[in-house]
Amino acid sequence: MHPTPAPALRSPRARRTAAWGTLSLVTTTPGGPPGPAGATGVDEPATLDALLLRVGTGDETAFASVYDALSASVYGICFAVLRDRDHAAEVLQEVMVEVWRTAARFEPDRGSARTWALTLAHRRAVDRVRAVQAQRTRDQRVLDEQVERPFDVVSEEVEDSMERARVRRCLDALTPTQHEAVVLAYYGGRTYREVAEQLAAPLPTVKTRIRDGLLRLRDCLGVAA
Amino acid sequence: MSAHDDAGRTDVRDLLGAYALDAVDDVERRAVERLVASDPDAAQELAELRATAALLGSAVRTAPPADARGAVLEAIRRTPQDRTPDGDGRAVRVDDEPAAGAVPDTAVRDTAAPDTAAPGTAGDVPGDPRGVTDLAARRRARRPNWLAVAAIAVGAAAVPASVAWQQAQEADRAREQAQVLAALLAEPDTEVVRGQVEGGGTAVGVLGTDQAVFTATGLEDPGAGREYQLWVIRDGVAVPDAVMPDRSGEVRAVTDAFAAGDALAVTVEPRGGSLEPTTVPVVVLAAEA
Repeated sequence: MHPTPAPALRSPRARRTAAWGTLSLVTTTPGGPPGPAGATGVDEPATLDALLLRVGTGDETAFASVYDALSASVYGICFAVLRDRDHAAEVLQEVMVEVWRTAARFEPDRGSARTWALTLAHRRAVDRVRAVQAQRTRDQRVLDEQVERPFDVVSEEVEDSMERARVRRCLDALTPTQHEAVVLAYYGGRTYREVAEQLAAPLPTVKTRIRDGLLRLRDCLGVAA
Repeated sequence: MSAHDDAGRTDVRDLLGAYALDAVDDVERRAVERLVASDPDAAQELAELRATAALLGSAVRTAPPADARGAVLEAIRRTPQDRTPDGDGRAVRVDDEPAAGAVPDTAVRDTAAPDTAAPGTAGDVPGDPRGVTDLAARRRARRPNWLAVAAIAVGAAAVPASVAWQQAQEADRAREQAQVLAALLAEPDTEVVRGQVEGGGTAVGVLGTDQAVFTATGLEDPGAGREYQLWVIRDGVAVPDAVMPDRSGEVRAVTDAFAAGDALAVTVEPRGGSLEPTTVPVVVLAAEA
């Protein structure tokens, strides 16, 4: 709860790999949460949707299962965007409580429970990172440090998974400019304006790159909403 | 700001990707939300892009701190759930006194609780009718005050981080609103209207042809678990708009849903807002016909 930014947010990165978005494979972190969290198997969506619907009726046991299934992803998003364990842990808790509070609004026809919760998680992480950035002097936001920020930094604790491998493969299939725009916006929590500024690219171009990149990712990952 | 003032549908559609990654500003967000509400194709694309973004999220799955689980399970036990307005005819929202730390808003609000307790205990300090000072009695009487002070202090210590970032968010929003306001006031057809708010306060509406700014000052506290919500009134129908956080009796909001001929109204709603007004408007602003 202390407002002072934790070191992770400003310390220069020890490792500097060439480009962000190099999703390197790492070994699975041992001792991950049990149950559905271990594998987002083919049958997860239906189960998780059903669980979240039960949460909407006040079922605390169902909520515990939803927490186990989603907390690692939510925390991973928060940590990727915030680069700070304390902030990430706080936002994780905030998001999970919001999942509980607003579960009755979840409509399975409009997307899976996982998408619903992770959309919320990313939004809250982004809200927080923008506020934290604004809180410090905007000038000192050292964009160039962020440019060099390799996505690998997260890797040490990121769990290996099928999704990870698939996402890495599909990210690599994007054009380099699409890749960098999508990664900066999603994992970097940047607005597309900031991305444009950072890449010294025109706004409409970046807007299009992000959309085209995501559409291509969608096709590559075989996403059907 | 002018970039999205006359943004056509195609431009807004181009924003779907950035929107799915939370990479747009508030004005653009509303533009996309309006598009998606009226265009099933766009809604479908957005749903797919969101699912894609969620996979980017799943790809960085990371074991959270072990103590988070217990803390969250504990927190939800103290947190009432929001109810949807439809369905079983229950209240629109059951939003009594949510648990501390549930949401930033709540954390801030909760610190006010000791405040309200304090006057009661202070009133208990007995004035000695005979003018004799009973120190022990005073000390006894004072103790609750210290407890109240301690409670406030605990609350205050817990708040700064969330307050600070709320203020930062507020500053961002204010800057954007100022830009919209400047753009609106530069338009020839913009009308500025003023009205008294039921219960106290003054409201000002800056009504453009496709956008409006609403501000009010001197408002009463909407009450625990309640917020002021803006509505766009079109042909007698109230279209839900922004929920406006009360900042010491001040609220403001920009709406893109406004069109010439519409009116703005504000009601007090359960926190988080409602889909239909559940109370009578405290103010309605419309341009002179």
